[in-house]
Amino acid sequence: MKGLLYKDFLLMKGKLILTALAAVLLLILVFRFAVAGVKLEFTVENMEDVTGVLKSGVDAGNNALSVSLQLIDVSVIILMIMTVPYLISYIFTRDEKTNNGNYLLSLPVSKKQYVASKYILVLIMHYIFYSVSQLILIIDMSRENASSKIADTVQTILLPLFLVSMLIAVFELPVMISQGVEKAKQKWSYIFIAIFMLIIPAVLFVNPDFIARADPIGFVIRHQSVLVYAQLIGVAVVAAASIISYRYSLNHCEIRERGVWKDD
Amino acid sequence: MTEKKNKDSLRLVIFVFLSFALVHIPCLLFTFGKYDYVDDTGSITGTGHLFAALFMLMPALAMLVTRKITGEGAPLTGNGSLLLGIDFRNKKWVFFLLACLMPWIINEIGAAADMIVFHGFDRQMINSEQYVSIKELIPVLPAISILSAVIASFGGLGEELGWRTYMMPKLEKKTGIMPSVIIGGIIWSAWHWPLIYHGHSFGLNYPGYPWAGPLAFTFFCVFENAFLTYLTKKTSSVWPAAFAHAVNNARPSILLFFLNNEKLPETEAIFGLVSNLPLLILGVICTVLMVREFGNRKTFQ
Repeated sequence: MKGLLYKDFLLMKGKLILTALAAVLLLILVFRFAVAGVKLEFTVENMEDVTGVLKSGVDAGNNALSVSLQLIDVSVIILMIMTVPYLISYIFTRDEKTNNGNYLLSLPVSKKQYVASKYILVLIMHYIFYSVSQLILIIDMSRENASSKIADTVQTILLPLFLVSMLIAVFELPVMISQGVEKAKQKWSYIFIAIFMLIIPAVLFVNPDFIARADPIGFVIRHQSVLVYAQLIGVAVVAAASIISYRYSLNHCEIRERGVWKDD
Repeated sequence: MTEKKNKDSLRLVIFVFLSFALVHIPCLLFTFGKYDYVDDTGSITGTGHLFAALFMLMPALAMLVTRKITGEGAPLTGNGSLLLGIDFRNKKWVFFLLACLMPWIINEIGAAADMIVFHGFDRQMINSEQYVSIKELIPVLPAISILSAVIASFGGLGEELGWRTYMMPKLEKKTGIMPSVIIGGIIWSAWHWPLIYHGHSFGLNYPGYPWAGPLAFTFFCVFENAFLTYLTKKTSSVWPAAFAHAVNNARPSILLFFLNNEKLPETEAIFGLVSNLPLLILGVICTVLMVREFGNRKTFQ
């Protein structure tokens, strides 16, 4: 199984998106220190009446600069979350294109090891990307004038977002293992069409005023207890779903077209 | 054999030098006032948190660089490896569970000891606004702390890859188990000293500053090192130590919430001599168990 994981990580090694993410992370770290001292400043001579107005404008500008940098960090974190399913799909696509399954038949690799390696790969990738997201959050919260509301909100929803990503992966994996990447993408298309069909009536018939009144940050702050309990339950749900999904994959995994797996 | 021993000694020296340099040199930024590690209230600043998080990855970086320049290689599992494998067979899962729960249990026993010995229970906390706002969360606070720490254990992993999987096996080969636990704990503590000087763990205004803090921290590190090394040896994996390290840093505890530090003597509130007694006992037990089980073997695993 170690070899299977090693093979999958080698496949990902040269991907441009990983290089880009690494570069962005480095830039965020560099900018944290290089831009830290940069502030909007002004000199005012004998203009006491407008000093207060100018100062509050400059303070607002500094705060806006800090918030903008925070939002960049949040965007990178969201990109991290979206990269994981992309990479998993890429690995399965490459496996199919190179007929890797048939090659594995010639090696002492069992079905259990192959299937388990995919689930462990998903777990490892989520762990790595979650850790990097935490590091970005720490960099973010260390900035001067950083908005604690934005930082606290992202901190609270980060784990749930990754749990959702893992849940999607454990539902996707059995389809990709048993039926292939194309079938999995087809099923996703059906799901997106169904969501789209639900959104259209909502857009046509629901009063959009609530969007203007929405306060997601306030919601997270007011319902922190509920979200904390949801995280605990979420981890249990993801763990249970992973076990069921693994069992299903094990029962339905077979080399498509020809051959059978060695007995475990 | 002698050549191998000399190579191991050289690797150990290089690793310790690199891991110290990667932390102690950047700490000069705090020394020369470029950044503050703690603010006026004694809390770690955002910049301090950032540096602390990055520093936790430095032992792993030092270990990888040492392996690269000395040609040692970096196998993922097996003898002389990074011990990144996970194996739950032969009741090893028990140690993974202990790794997550023991720091919490130690904290609860320590807080209880403080409450009993120094009457540190804060009755007024129950009526406070702070308690009312989070009382629904208090029963699950430890679970959430442990879960968050395990999931975000990359910092613990960064340190443990260096100290427990690399330094401790080499020290043990040279000196035996008990001396290696003590020496390893002292090295681990000394690595923290510049940060302690700038306010880590104890602040800047404790009695005996700047010497008492490093001394107390060394006491803690030696016994914690025994526990973490025991976990690593029993499971042949770095992960229990990484989880235990992360959970320990998170300080999960229900009783700590109700402990009034103002009722404790100043030395106890800062150094926790009574509250760390459970850790002392745990460290001694782990050392004795290691000597009995692994004492005559020359290999770490």
